[in-house]
Amino acid sequence: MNGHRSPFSANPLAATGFLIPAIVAALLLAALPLALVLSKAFYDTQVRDAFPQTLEALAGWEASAPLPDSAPDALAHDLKSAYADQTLAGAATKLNERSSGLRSVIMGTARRLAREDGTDIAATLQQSSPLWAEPQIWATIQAAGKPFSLVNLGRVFAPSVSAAEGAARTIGVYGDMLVRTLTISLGVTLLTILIGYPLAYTLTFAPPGLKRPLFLLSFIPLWMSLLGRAAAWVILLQKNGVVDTVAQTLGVASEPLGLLYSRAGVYIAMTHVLLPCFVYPCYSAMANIPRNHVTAALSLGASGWRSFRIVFLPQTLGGVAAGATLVFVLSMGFYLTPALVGGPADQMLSYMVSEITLKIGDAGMASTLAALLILTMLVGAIAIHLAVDLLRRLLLLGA
Amino acid sequence: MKQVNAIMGLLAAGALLFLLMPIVTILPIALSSGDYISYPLPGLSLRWLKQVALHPGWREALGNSIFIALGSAMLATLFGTLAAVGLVQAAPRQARALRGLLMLPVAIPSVVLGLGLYFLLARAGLLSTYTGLILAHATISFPLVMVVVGASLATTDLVVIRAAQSLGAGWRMIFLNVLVPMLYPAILAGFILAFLNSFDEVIVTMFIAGPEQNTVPRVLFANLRDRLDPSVVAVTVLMLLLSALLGLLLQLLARWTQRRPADQ
Repeated sequence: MNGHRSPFSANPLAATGFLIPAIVAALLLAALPLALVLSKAFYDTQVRDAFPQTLEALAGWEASAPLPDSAPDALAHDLKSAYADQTLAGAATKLNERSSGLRSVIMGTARRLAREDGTDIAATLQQSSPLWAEPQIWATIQAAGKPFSLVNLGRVFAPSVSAAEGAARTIGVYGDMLVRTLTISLGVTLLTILIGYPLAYTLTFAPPGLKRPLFLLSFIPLWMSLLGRAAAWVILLQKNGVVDTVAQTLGVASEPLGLLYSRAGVYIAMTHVLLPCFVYPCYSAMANIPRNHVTAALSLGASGWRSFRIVFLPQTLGGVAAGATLVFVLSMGFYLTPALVGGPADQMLSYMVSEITLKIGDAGMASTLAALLILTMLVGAIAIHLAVDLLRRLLLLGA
Repeated sequence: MKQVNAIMGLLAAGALLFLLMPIVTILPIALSSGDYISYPLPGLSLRWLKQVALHPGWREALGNSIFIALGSAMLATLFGTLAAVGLVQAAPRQARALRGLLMLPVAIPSVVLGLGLYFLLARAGLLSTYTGLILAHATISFPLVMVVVGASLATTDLVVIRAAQSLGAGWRMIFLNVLVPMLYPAILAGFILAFLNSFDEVIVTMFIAGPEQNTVPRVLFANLRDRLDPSVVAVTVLMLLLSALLGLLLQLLARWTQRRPADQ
């Protein structure tokens, strides 16, 4: 009845029904949340929802033309109802991002309107802020009323002026965070390759009796609690903690290193957590390489190092790419380890996403950063594949 | 080649030391009799473990964690096992596409999934509810069950299904009376993985749980950032030991699954 080699001959639909609960869960609780994040990144209805009548009154208006007569009344109506619904603060914050100072103007006007019910609207607006006589503020509301916008994306890459630093920086705080996340992830990926490759190699060529215990030791950490491992590093790295004590006893350091809340600590802890994720795919690739390739190279007179470099190493690069991509993708999304082991200057994008959502309440900005995180992750994964492929070609050329 | 092997072996020994040392070092600190974390230990005692066991905050968190982990692991095991069986049946090309969709919950970074679920559950009125938490945890765990059960299915001779069918068994009967008994170790392994996954989850939980739904990882995370005392070490060690023990159990189950076809 069905053409492919299914073990089930009759009534294939019945077995397909087995997939339904999982498909519903994946669509509803993973695909839909992802779609919500991606849409909120560029689509924000807060201002549109708070100023429906104002936007209607301003439809077709241009800043050079006189303000429509109906606009002030519409604005007063919107301000009052949004203030009563408590949706005004969010919209005012959005407007403030476009033109700073607008938040207090809008909230102040709304409070005054709520107090002085039924009086002359135009006069109330004028008393609240002289800005209402200018066309700019109306144009800002009109522009922010369009739900599709790249404002958040602009804020990521726009230069920001920090009063504390007193100078314009070339890149904003969010852009900084993106670059830092990328730097740390690439650094951790490189470290896991350097430390993990010899381990995978030794696992592959270990004598049979040693193989099982070595395997167990290498992968015990993989199934141990992720939070527990991050916590272990907090305890070990703290000032005058175990790492400091050992370093001082061995004479490596003369005073406490204070690695907790430092970038070095983040590298150490993240590499530790992610190392098994590199070793496993790398080992799988090595185990699949026919042993007689190297033997043939040796018998043809190549030195041990040379046969490793031109016969064995290039064949393992597929595994290296797989492991490195996995480590990179996972570390881009890391949250716990940098949050616990890093200082304020070592936090990564994931941390920013949660802080902005849960503390500041700017869902749009959090979504934009989340979308950027995914995008950077994908681009980085492709770049790693290309880089490893290039390396393979170079190795073979150098042979 | 001997030279290469020797150098690699030496480097590998260093890598293993780096991998295991921190975990081994931290274990005894949980038994410290001192008032703060220090090495060498001033003496051994169970006082910090006892304090954790008696502290109402940790006990409440433990109750929540177990409740959520058990509930979500049961759902995840059901969904994941059914999906693995369904995938064997699907045509290869459809199976590949479906597997991509079904792995989505573990492919999305936790923080992105947490944010999306925060939006979604807020609209559904499920924010800060056990229902929301259990559904979310089940979703991020069922792909693990699916992979483990799927791997076991791949090494199982599925001709028994045809045999059962030819004898007139319906799908429900085949699933319950043929597949579940055959895949039992893998299903159990999947359940343990799902339980551990939920028991260790803190990022998605942080987005969607309310203040009354403190879990052990949440409390541990907060304590690690605010105040470090030996009770934090005790909980860390307990979490590491629990996951290591269940992990060893998983290894045993995996070996059992591998050996079984030869036994029969």
